Amino acid sequence: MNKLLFSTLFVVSLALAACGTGGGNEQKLADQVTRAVYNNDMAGVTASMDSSLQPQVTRASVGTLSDEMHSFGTYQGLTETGTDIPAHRYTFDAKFDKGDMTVQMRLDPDGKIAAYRVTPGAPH
Amino acid sequence: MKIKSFIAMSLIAAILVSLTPAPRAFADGAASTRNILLGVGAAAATLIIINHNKKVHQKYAEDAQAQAALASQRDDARTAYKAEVRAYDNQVAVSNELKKEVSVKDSMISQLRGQLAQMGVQTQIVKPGPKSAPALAAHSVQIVSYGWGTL
Repeated sequence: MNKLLFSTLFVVSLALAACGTGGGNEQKLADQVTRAVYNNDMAGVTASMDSSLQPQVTRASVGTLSDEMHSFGTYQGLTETGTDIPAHRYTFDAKFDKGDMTVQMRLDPDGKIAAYRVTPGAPH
Repeated sequence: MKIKSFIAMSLIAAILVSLTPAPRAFADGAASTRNILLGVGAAAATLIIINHNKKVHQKYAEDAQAQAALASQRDDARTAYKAEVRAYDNQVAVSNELKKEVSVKDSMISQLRGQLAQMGVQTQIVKPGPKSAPALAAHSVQIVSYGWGTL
């Protein structure tokens, strides 16, 4: 009886760990890009973007968004708040010293970033 | 006369500035800032002229209206009619100047929107939901988002 209980718990914990790893990848990617934008690091911003999105990123636009993020204080990290799996769209709450920003990201089928947008304020 | 010559000089200055060969654009935002300032300067000169014309026609309309009132008091129907027509024509001219002003402002707005899009900034009008407070229900909210690509 105990063996059955332990094996069930083991399988459940493995499944939960697998789910956790899958969800964390998008969060890691969003965090990388957000940190790169915050640090005004153009190469870091475009590193994980797909070929259609990279040409849209200019130094001026990275600087504008970086300034906007700095107006919210020090970046503390982000947490996933919404997922649209069929559309590969993810929403995160990015925490700053003085407030929150909503980070929305869409991935292409290869797992590269196809869209990355930031809106002042916490996700609704 | 002084105002006319001032307008003429500011117009010539705006044209000369716009004809000045622009230095090579670098991707540091300075070129786009210069373009924004040039565009805004030219549009501002146009708006000054439009505003001046509008004021002149407004004054003419008021004068003609006053003459019409005086003629009417004198019971001079023909003169009163002519003055009313003149006042009407000037009001039409004021209306045309207002149309021009709106058109210039529209083009300024679309130009600035284009500049913002290049900076990765998008604006989106969001209408309040049915659960919104009655005081807010009539107003739509403009949301600014930064970044790249369409979600």
